[in-house]
Amino acid sequence: MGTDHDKVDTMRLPWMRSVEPLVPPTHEDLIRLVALGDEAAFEELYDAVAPRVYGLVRRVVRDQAQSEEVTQEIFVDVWAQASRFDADRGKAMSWILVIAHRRAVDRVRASQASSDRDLRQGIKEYQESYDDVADTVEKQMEAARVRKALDTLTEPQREAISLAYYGGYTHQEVAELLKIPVGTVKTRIRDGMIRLRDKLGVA
Amino acid sequence: MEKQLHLLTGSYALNSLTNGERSAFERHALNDAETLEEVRSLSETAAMLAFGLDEETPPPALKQNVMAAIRNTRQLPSSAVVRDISSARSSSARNRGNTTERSRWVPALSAAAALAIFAGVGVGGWALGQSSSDQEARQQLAASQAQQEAMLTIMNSPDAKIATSEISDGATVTVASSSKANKAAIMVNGMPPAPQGKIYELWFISAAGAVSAGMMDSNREPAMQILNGEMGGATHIGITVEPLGGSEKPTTTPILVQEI
Repeated sequence: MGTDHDKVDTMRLPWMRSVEPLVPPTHEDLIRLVALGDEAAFEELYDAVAPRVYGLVRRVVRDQAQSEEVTQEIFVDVWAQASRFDADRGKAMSWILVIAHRRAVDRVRASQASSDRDLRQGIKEYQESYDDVADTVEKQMEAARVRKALDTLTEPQREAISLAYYGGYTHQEVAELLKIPVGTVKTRIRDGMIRLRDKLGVA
Repeated sequence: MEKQLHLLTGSYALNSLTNGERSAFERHALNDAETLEEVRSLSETAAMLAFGLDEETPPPALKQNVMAAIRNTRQLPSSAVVRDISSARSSSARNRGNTTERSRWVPALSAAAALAIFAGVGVGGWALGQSSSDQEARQQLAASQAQQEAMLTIMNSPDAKIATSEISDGATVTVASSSKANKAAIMVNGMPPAPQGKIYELWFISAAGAVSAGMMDSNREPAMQILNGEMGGATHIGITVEPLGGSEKPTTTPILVQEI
């Protein structure tokens, strides 16, 4: 073992990948700090993920004022529940987006806007969702992967999943929209999701 | 019925169940490991769908509201964070604006938080987990209290530092140290067992060479361990793989050298 500083420095070379000092914190790192009450880490996390979260909420909720309220609820949830985040069960961004989607859908179902929604608009919304995916494909690797994976679905699977996720519809509503039995919707959604999972390499 | 519920994993992941269906499904899924696993993976897949949408920056006022709201919001207790902290990279937002030299250290982490975590380790399970008798439990408790005291000494020092490194395949080693307390401790998480007939040995490393700081007790995870002996002028802490019983001096390339 080294008897001088040079020796120590030489030792550090190949296998010390994380001892490299210039690695920015990952979302996972930030959440762990947030769980400890670190407001600065929370702010950094907010800046990093808010546009993605807000984009999703706007898609599902539509109304701007309500979208802002829901987004605030989501981030307060992230703050309050950060200690529950378990890196073994998935990525931090996924954890946040799961909270976000649930909150957005709850709002849509609870609000008056929901009962007024014209189900026949659903198909149009679905088409828009799919176009969005196409628009962002060049900009983002992740979007490209998602689109590629969506492309491997059958059209009926893609339709059912997009209506449910981007439209925030229950599978009952999706069945009404598509005029097919709800059992068929369940099957299409599950088969399609399993295929997406495998295509996206989600462990 | 069970079969039918099992088919709802996809709908559940997309939040397209009604509230009634959702609770029925959750009751079922909780007792079914396979369903639970499918839900987990499909939920993560569902989250990926959000990447298919355009990002949209929320109005600045929203951020102000959120920051104000969290200051008035209690967090769930972080006793469960024991394992998480062991893999927390320590660069924090404190270092923002200093992008060229982002320190890996969180100076003193915020003493209160750190105390809660490490105290949590003692109570939370690593110490009392495997005891087979009262006698053993008492011995472990005493040992754990001694460790905890030493840890408190480190964390209470004004110069306490914590740094976390990833060594391989997600295994992480967190080093806590204080020159004032003249002590250091490590926590490991996800560390593979040492190869057959080998053991992990800990080292205080200084310009004068490496001094053994004891063997790592790798049977417990997450494991916290106070390093044997005093830090002295050590500038780094190292871990090497050594034959059972340890070596006087490192005989293999270290798997970790952490600056302290």
